[in-house]
Amino acid sequence: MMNDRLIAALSDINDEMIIDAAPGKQYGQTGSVRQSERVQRRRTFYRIAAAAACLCVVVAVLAVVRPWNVERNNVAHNVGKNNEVTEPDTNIVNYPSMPDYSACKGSETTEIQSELAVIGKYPEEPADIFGTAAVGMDMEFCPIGTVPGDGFIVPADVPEKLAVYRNEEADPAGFPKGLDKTQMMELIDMYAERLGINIDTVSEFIDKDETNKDILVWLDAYSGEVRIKADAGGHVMIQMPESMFPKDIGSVLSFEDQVMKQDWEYVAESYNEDGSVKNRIYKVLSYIYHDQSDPLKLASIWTAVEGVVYLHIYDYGLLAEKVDDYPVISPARALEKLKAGEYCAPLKNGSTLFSGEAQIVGLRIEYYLDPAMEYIVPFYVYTAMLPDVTSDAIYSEYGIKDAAAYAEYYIPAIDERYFGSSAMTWN
Amino acid sequence: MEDEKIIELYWARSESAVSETENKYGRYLKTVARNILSDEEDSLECVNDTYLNAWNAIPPSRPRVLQSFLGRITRNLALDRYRANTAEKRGGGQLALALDELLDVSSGENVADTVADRSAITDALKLFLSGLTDEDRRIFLKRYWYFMSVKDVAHDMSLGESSVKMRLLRMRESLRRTLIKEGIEI
Repeated sequence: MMNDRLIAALSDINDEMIIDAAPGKQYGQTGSVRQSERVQRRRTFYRIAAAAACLCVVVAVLAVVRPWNVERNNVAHNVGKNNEVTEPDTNIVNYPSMPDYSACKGSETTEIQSELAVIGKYPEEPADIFGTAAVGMDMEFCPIGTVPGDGFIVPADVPEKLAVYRNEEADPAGFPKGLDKTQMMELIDMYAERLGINIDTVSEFIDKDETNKDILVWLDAYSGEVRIKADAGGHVMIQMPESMFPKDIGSVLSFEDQVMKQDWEYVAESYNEDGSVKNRIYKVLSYIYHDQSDPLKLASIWTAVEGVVYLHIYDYGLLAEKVDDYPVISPARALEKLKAGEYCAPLKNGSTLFSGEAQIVGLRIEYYLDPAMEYIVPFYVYTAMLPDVTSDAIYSEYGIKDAAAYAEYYIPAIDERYFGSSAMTWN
Repeated sequence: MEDEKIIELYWARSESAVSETENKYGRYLKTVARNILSDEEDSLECVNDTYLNAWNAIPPSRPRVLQSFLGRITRNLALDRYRANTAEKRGGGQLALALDELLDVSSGENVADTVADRSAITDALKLFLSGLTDEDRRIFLKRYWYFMSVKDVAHDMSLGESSVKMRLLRMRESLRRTLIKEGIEI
């Protein structure tokens, strides 16, 4: 067995490594040296929907074509090859829940949007922050089935099985849970070290859990104009002046096989319950990075306020463990589901409804990472270009030309027979 | 006593070589053995066998680093004894758990073991270990060389147990990828 061989082969490694790891050996404090630490306690007056707050801005594009609704029922959903009902090998009970984008109240995102509205300005030219000019939508347009550009896969490359992961600490309300204070501080120290800064102050954000017990939700660390926030769900947010942000993001992320999957310049809108536009940002620059060797890692950079960069890092491997590998449906089957309306969309239907056909311009397989989801499952993600919106007077007024509207549609890539008694209905 | 002087005692065939070795490294060697075997009596026998092996090996050997030289002997003896004992049952101890963890790295199927394979695996391990941070490497070796419990590793490293577990999981994944890249059949 390979594990025996590994154990045996370890005997032959360097002497110094062996001694350095000897039991009982002391190494001093781990992590970077903190100059001083002053901890404050703050109480919140409302529960933060952290997941919704963070994710909504990253993916925000204009409204999707069709309304979307998800209901859960108790119908068994396991059908064998001969239509017999069988019990699944493993019970994946939770379909992914999409964040509610109207729940941005109280997040820093909303504050930024408000500030922008007051200032009334946005960058005239795309910012050349990372060495590449972000001009328009950096996507290659191609029909499904042909060779796509970066970030997409050829349907023939779809694997037969893909892993499903489970995060026991996932909270349906998106409440960050799982890491303790030491672990959150480790994350902060790690990124502070990579950025070459020393943390001056650290404050705690305390909330009440469902039993009314105080629980540490996140730590906020500051070093001058740099803020590093680590929450109990493993999400790290770094806020810093654009001038300080490293040109090489790889030095911060340390992703093993880093790929920039998306490079967007877009208008971000958030919506009220009645579908009216709550907030609109006219130029958001967003870059999304994946670690191709680890589907549970994601990083996004965006800037909507001039001169400030926000880096969000999600590493669900901190809390999630692999359940098993599950059979994947074919791209053809996924397309059938898309056409039948059996999809999820990360946006609620907004104020603008489109009629006409949407052109599918891209396909990829991606894990939908959401701290509210107990199970992390892969999806086929179709990107569609919606009918022309450049005639919209609002955008013209702000000088946005040649804009195009895009929407993304998510179809679970795992064969639905392996899901448990929860089922999804479609409009 | 310094290692060079202890080694000179072996070369001089002085009986105090073993007692000096025990004084300096006895506790270390007992820890190595105990983490693998759990049984106190078996562990002590392994450590005593280590002294005998060292006496027989030096000379002609002149170990560059005495501690790791002795540690390897104890580790290998303990692993052999574990395999002999474990035909019928798992004797507990951290080795069984560590072996189960390392199944992550492989397909779990039996693959023929050859001398060439071991050399290739060792090279791949060295490559893998050299790419780790000091902290991660210590964690990995404390777990898979010394078979310390996760709790003890966490204590040594002043880390939480969850953090250690997560890092070990990531490192096993990384090791798996390294082995694949190096063309080692897993």
